[in-house]
Amino acid sequence: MAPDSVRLNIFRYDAFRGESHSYDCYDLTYHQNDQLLDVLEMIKTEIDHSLSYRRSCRHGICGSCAMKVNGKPVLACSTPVRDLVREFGPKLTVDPLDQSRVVRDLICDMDMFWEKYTRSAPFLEPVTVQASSPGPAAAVSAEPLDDGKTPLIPLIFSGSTNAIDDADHCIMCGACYAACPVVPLQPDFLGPAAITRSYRFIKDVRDAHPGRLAAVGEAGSGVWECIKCLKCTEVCPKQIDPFSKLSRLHQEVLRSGSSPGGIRARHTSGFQLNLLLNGLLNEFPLAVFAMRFRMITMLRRGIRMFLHGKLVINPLRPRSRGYRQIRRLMRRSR
Amino acid sequence: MNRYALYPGCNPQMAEPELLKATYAVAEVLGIELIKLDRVSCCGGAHLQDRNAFQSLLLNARNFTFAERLQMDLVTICNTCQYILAEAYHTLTTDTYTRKQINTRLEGENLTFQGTSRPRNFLYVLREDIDRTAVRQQVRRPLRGLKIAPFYGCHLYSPSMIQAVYTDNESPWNPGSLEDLISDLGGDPVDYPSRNQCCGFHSSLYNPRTSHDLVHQIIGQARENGARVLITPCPLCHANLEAFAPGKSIPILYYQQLMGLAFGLPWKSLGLQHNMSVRKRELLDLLPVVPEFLRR
Amino acid sequence: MNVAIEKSDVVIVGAGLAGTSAALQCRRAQLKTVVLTKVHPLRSHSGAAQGGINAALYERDTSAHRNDTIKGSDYLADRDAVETLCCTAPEIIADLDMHGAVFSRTSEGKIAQRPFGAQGTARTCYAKDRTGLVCLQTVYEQAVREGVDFRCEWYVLDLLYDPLEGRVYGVTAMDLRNSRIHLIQAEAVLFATGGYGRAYSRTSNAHANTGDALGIILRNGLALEDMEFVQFHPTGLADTGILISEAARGEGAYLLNSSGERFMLGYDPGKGELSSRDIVSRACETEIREGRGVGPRKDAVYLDLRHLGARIIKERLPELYSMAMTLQGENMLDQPIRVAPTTHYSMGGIPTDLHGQVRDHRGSPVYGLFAAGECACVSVHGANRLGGNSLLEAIVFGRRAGRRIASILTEAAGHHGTGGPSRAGSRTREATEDDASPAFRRISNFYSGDQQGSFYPLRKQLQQLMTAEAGIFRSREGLEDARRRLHGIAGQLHRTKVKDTSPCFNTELQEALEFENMVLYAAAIIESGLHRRESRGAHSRTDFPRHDDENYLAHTFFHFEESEPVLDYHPVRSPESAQEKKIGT
Repeated sequence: MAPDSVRLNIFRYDAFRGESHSYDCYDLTYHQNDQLLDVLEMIKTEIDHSLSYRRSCRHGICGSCAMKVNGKPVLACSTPVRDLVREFGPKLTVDPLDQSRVVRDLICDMDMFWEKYTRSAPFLEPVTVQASSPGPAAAVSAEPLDDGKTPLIPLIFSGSTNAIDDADHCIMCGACYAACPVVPLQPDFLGPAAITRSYRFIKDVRDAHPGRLAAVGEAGSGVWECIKCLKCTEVCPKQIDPFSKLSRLHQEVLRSGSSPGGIRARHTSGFQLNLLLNGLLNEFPLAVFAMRFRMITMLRRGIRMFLHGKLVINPLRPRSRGYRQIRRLMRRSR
Repeated sequence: MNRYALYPGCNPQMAEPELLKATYAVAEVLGIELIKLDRVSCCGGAHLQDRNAFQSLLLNARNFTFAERLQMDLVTICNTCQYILAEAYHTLTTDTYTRKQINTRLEGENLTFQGTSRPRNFLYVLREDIDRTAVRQQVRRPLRGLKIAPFYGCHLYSPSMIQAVYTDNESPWNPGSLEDLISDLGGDPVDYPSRNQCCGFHSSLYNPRTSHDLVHQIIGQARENGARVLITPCPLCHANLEAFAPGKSIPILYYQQLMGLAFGLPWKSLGLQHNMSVRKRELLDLLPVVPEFLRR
Repeated sequence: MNVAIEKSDVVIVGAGLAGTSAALQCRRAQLKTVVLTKVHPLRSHSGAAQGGINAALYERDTSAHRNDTIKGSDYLADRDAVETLCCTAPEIIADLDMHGAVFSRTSEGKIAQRPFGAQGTARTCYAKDRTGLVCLQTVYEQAVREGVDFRCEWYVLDLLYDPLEGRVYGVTAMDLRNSRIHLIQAEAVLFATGGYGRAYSRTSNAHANTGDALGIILRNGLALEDMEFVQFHPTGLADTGILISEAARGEGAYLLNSSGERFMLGYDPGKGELSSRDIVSRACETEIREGRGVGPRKDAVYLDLRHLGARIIKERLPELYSMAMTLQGENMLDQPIRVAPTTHYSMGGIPTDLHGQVRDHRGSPVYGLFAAGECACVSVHGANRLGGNSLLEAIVFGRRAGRRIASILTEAAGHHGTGGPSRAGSRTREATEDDASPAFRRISNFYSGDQQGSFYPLRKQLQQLMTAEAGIFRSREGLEDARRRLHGIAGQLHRTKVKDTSPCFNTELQEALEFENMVLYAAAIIESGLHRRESRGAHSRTDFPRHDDENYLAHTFFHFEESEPVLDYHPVRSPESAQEKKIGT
């Protein structure tokens, strides 16, 4: 297998020196199965020993080596160079996950990321197992082992494990967090990894920690702040699909009534009501319903829209010709 | 003749009428027949899913049946519609248990989801079914190197694991279909970092600040890199970009409108009177004049 | 000298399963505990373990697990250690489960167990093929819950050891963020730094597995035990050495040579592919050496999983599937994948008793020093480790060491757990700035070398020579040659220079320091291998192919005395020595 060529521009920075960053450019050949980490190792051991990056396991399980290539967060050890070249062409720019938090070359300060993880109470608070009580403990029943000296291990059925849906597989690499556009704009947002971690415990029948759902339903930090761009799902190297977990939590937050109320909850219930009415959505009455008095802030925009023929004031329009059938089906799937 | 069942979505029938107008106008020139499905429901808009995922799936399964009846693919003109329908299609065609549950409910309305109509966005229908040369041939008013910034939004091609089959394997991190289109129309596509970034539409009602910051970033970067016009495929992105655009913004068009201008179609047929970010004189000044005999 | 000095009750070096398990025990006993780790705890190599953790959960008793372990160890394991391991296993699993570990379950809701190499019963509990990750996360999460103090990206350079008193009183460590040197005075130091596989070129080990504690031990004149026993896992990806778990064979995968034969049926007709690791590794290596290898360089054999089908592969071995695809471009579903023996585990290490208390070459305790996990040698694995026993060992002995530390310290001070300030200093020697001198000297040596060359080529040479001469098959000539070449490398190392002068994450300096440790324990491996003139378990001598129970049913203790290697032998601890051969049946 003949080697191929690639040009790497690698971000260099040293917090100690305090100057602005620079890029080192390398024209290299790589082999069929070379991962990005292999190329970095080659540069480090043979060309520039000072190049610094985090790495350990080499096979995508420890999560150390997350970095950005042409803006896309990847695990360097499990990303073949040939795939990167196929996606971006032969010129690749390698950056740390977050330039605003870089400390040395491709190494960032991950303190904020870990803090949000810790904030999500990432540990099981065990339910006390009572064989005869209802509720979550019913999914679990104790079976004493042989001589009674050996410990009790509750039975758990695959429905319960499947509910976790691999959320426990998250290796906390930080790729999703770095891909999320909300994180830099809203520093309080927990981010996809911490929310996925909360999901993992919320769905674990053995967990009895109170208030997890309320915590992820909080305005300003929880699931409501997600703009649903799907970047986290795109980048997750373990294919956990963090967005789908967040969406399921959204449903639970609404069902449990522990959402922050106000405009957020009204928007979602208003949406559903609008569809019940017409089968199609009209944003204008929905905005009125959700925002109420705050509509006044949209007055200028409303006028402009009206002047451009974009305002459909009639709440019964647009209406699908099949609106009755739609209503029937919606009623039957509450 | 290429015939497709058009899934119109909600916004194009409400606050973004220019999208439907421009799409029809361009389709006619290219010999595409779009049959608008007027009994469909909203796809759920990525919000109904958060309230009741089953209900949303049920409605979308029903939406597909209309295209199936016509034996045509289901064509979308909105990013979020495309994403939601593609997800629904994926679930319904891979999860047999859920599909059975859904079809049981649909039976009561004499409907069955069969999976014979695929969800495809109009942009990729143009790319895959209509020759690129066919598009180039229809250009009466080549855009003469006009610098145009493509803005993709995010739902058009995500999640790529599901959508790659519908998007000609477009990479969400390095897409190129709009750039190709711009070049085919004679324009000069502008590269800028946030061309595939989210515009923030879905939480704009209660997080306007985030939308404001994202939109300013998008338009700001496009301008910094020399763009005179920005195009987008999605009515939600279009609405959000126009709503939060900075005072001095560049015109924000649908790519169908840009195509229509390049094809020499009349202003009103493309709904350009509706775009809030467009001032007729300014936009026309950017474009070459179409000689009388070439006008449609 | 710019040195920060602080006091703690306990310092734990390494935050994998062993270190964190110990930390939890110390924390619960209200001791001031500091865990120093050179990578974030969740990056520890414990998380890379795939296949499972053994426990006699649903068996009548633990005797079969015990017998399998002793036989697997080629009778070198200390019987009391094995007894402890096997008897504690069920409670460990129950504990992990209680704290949230997501084990795979059977349809009856019990913890699923898969068959693993050289074990008569399926007793390897697993979580798909990411058991290590699940265990590590569970233990770390409990540590987060209880507020254990982790200092991430701190690299330990040296032990504070008083050889006259025979006692340890702290460590010297460097904060990698700013290269600041810290002295932490403590009444107890626990080493839990994991394995040393990076001394070899084809290894399953992470970059972090540089056996630092082993180098520090040797540098302080203390001993290492059974270093010659290096486990080679038969199935690492041929190109990179990355582990393809035994679980694949447990689920029914075949090993094939270039003629398409399941050659293991010839080497071990009874167990076939599920024979013990040393046997399978030697078989693979033999097939390759005798010209029946596969792949472009004919340096591998095939692992064939096609017949397992997509459902089993995707459900039970998803990690393995994606690794073969991403790292080697091979699709398990429709082609056999190239694998070869890879350096995997270190049976040897720092000698300890059943409670993690470190012993010196005479067998006397080194007060204040403890070790647990892969870097320790209790010895549970003897000459060869069974799959599924290392995750178990780390937790069992990490806990025991933690408990022993807790009981010694609380008893010594008549302390009843008020969680008050550290009492270090009551018996321990005071740490002073001068104690950091050896560490400073090591660092400054790397900036004053007279050669312009770097250590990287030397490291590569070391890895290649270890793989060639101290690998699966060894001989006197090979090992003596290795010894010579190692001396050459050591000599050159002292004259190399580190170019990077930044104090901020100076990874070049860190790797140089790690390499220095590597040279020391590589010598231990070579010397111990040279002196063991027999073949046992993972140590295979082509010139001495048989067991020599009379002379060598004993543990090797290696240490340096004034730079000269010294070897001692201590008998296997065996409460029922007369019944050895009976156990084999």
